[in-house]
Amino acid sequence: MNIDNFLLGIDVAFTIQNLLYCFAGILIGTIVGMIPGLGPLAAMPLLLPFTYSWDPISAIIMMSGIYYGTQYGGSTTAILCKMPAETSSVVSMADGHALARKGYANTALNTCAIGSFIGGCVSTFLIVFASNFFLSVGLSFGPREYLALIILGCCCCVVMTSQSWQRTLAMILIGMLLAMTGTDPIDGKMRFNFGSLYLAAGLDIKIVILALYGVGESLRHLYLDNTLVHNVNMVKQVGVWSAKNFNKIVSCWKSILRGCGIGSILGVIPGGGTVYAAFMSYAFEKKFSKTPEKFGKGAIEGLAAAETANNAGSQTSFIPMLGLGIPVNGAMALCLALLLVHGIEPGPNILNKHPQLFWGLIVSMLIGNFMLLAINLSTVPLMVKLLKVNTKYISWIVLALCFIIAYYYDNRIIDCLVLLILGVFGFFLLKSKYDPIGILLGFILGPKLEESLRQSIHIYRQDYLEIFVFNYGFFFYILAIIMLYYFKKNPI
Amino acid sequence: MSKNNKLIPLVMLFVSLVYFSQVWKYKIFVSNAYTTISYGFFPLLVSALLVLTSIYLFFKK
Repeated sequence: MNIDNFLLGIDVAFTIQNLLYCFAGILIGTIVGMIPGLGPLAAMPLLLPFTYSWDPISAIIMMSGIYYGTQYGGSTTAILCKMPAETSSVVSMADGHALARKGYANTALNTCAIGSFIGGCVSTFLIVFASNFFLSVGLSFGPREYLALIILGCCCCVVMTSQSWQRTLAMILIGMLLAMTGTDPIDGKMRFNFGSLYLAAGLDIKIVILALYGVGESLRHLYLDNTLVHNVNMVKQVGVWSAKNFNKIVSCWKSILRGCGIGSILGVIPGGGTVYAAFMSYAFEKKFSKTPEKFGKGAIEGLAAAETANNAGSQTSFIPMLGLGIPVNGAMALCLALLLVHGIEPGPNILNKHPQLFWGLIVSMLIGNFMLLAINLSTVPLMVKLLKVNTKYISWIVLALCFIIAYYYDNRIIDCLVLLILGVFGFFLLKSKYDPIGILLGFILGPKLEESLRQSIHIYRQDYLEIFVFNYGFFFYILAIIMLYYFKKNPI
Repeated sequence: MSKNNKLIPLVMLFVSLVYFSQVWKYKIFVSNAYTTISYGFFPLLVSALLVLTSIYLFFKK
């Protein structure tokens, strides 16, 4: 690691503006993470439109803060209410809630906060070391290598969703078709505008994100009448902080370290991310524990390992997104979209082209972890009161905001109409258990795939061996085949 | 299979057929020293694949 780069990151992250954005991001993330039914995919698309006029560094700092903030917040609801707000919090729920019932809610919450803090910090340093690799290969990437990388990205999407590969493929293709509306990326010829001047400019990615995640998700919540009863299992006493509690947390330092290792590695694997990390880490602890019978009944080691791995995984999932331009989960796909809207193309060249953004984000993650630790240790009992908010009202507010934001972009009512059509489509997709993340990925990667393919054919004059075999990209094809084969045998 | 699960493949089939019917207006192949494909090739490929996938999903039990 070059110390100059790190100093550059400190210079960028320690401005008043970026510190405020970081704080706002983690605060929103913690609150959203605590409310069951919401999560990063509900909050991020809604806030995305506000960030378009901001500095891209501040925008990505805030978005990443929301993402890892939700990982912290999710465990609070799981421990106190036995209601996992996030999928990855399911693991923490059994032991965390059992501890809370015994009167150790404070210990459980603080174990989560400290474990998450250590996991977050260790994995941030791993991103720094991974950056050296991307820096060295970045300059040797051309269209044919990008072509291979995009195909690998599509394969990642196929394995990362829990639905069948045919459904994911269909979603990616729909996204690609929607992205083709408008102007061809190489010749500049008009395609699929159906005589409409509005479609000549192509569909706006901002509207697509708002429709699929904002409108679609809100309609689904309203349809399901998601009036969650939060208070049924609510722990009445959070408990007090004592030296005995502190000793309990210190005693599980080995579990925290193992959680860091497992979480950091599994965070970069498509699909699983934090969920994989938390489950694997918990299973590992249980397998090698001297008292496996305690697991599920209030084992603090299991809670510490799962929460550490969960947060470590959430931060290392930025490695493939920033370094290769491959999002491993929905939240990363939204971060990728955010960077693209700002004209920044994530990939191996990001360190050469945008060092301020990369290093600023890394340092902000470290600062964010400190902020989260402070927030979680001091304000958790207060934030628990937010659980009484009915998600049905939130869905109505989100729905109204989506239409206001869509109109606010260009003051065109047709944007609202497109939002409605795509939103209703998104709702039916979610209702039929189709994951719309494929549409978003196809929308982002489709034009790049076509551009890289046509550029490669043009540059290498139809020498297909040069395009597909004799370059670094060949390893990505091999990796894609291995990944598809492995995940077909062991589905997520 | 429920009605809902049939609806999505049907919509996808409709969308892909609309795109597929338009793609013939565009130049698909060219023949020169540099390239063989034109701006209609990729839409043809994607829409054809989507037609096949949505038919598969529609009839899948």
